[in-house]
Amino acid sequence: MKKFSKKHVIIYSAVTLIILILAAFSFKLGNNPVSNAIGTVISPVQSVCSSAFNGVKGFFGNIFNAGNMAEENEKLREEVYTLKDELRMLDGYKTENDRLQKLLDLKESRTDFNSIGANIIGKKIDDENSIITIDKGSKDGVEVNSVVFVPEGLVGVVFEVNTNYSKIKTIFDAESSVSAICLRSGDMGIAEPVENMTTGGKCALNYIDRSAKTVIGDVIETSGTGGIYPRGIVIGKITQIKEDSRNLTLSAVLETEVNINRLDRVLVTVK
Amino acid sequence: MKYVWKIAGIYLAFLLQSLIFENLRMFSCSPDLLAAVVIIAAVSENFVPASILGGFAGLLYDVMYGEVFGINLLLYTYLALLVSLATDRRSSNSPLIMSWVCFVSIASLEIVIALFKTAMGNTPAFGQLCANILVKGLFGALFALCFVLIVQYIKRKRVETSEIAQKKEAAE
Repeated sequence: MKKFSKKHVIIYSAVTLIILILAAFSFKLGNNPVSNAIGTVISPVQSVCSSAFNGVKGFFGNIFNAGNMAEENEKLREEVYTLKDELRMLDGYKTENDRLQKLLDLKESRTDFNSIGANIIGKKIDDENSIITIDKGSKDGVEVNSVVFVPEGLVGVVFEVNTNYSKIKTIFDAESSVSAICLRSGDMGIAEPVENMTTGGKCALNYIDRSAKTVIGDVIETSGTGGIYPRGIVIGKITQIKEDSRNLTLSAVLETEVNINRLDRVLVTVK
Repeated sequence: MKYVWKIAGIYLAFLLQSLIFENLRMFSCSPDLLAAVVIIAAVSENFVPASILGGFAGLLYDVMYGEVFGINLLLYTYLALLVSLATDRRSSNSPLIMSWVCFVSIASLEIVIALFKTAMGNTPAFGQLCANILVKGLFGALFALCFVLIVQYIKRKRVETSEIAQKKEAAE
């Protein structure tokens, strides 16, 4: 067995130094040629595998996702009793068609910006990060700060663009904050993620003025201020309003219809 | 050829991790198949190939999901290097030792990540760290246990088949 010699110390130090230099460049430039080149090769494979694994993913998701298991089980049971095989297959096509139609309607309804459809080819979700990767990149017109959304609401913003894939930080990522407005009352706030909800379903609306007339059930949209998110993309619905710890402002709990685990297609704004 | 298989194995683990295991969440964290595979590969390799395999896994992670390039590349390279240096290659035949190595290595990796986050001013909750160690570590240990048992079973079957073939030849 080889021993760890001085030569190895020098080699490992040199490699570490090169990686640190690349990391520094990546931090400065947004991405680096090495990761772009590798990503360009990997992302098509990832895209193909993503489609192939979709069925398996759903199967495992149902088994292990204890929170949704009862609901899913109920749904499946209803399907078994109410639909025959042929009808179920047709229903599948119809659902897919509706979903695509919804995306198309949404795309056509927004004339203030151009958008394209993209497939999600990977997800990285842990207790703080909520990052997804899509199969569209700079060659399709995607830019850093392009906004990603679905008919159910806002998903996030592109933070890194490579030739044929892009990385998106969702609004449920710990570092995310979105300027938001209440559609009915016009009150403003900042939509921020809540702890342990990186897959979606809930987020917080903070820094609402104490005199705000927002009530439970109000729909919250992006306000358009800040220059990244265009106005009028739904974020969620208010389910709870409370005073903050210092009694200076109000904060609300938003229920979002976007669930990162269930997303497979999104719209992304382009040049 | 052996390394091509190992690299393919790591890439498969990366695909499974990003497409399936990221959706399996217990206590707000998902099992880390990629780390488990890197550790198993590192135990059975000398430290140079082990570091290369670890680096490959980290590189995949950084390219597809990393916010800053290089963090996972360094983490996985050094994880594989340290595991390879600290263990005997014969340990790869023992399911219990492999499980233990996998649990301890993943727990150490989680602690290093937590320290790194703390240094960046983003201290994770202690409870979350414990949940990460528990879920990821136990999954890694279980995976290593199953992996070694399956490999041993396949090896045993091969030996038995070759012995039967030899006996047949001798009889003829």
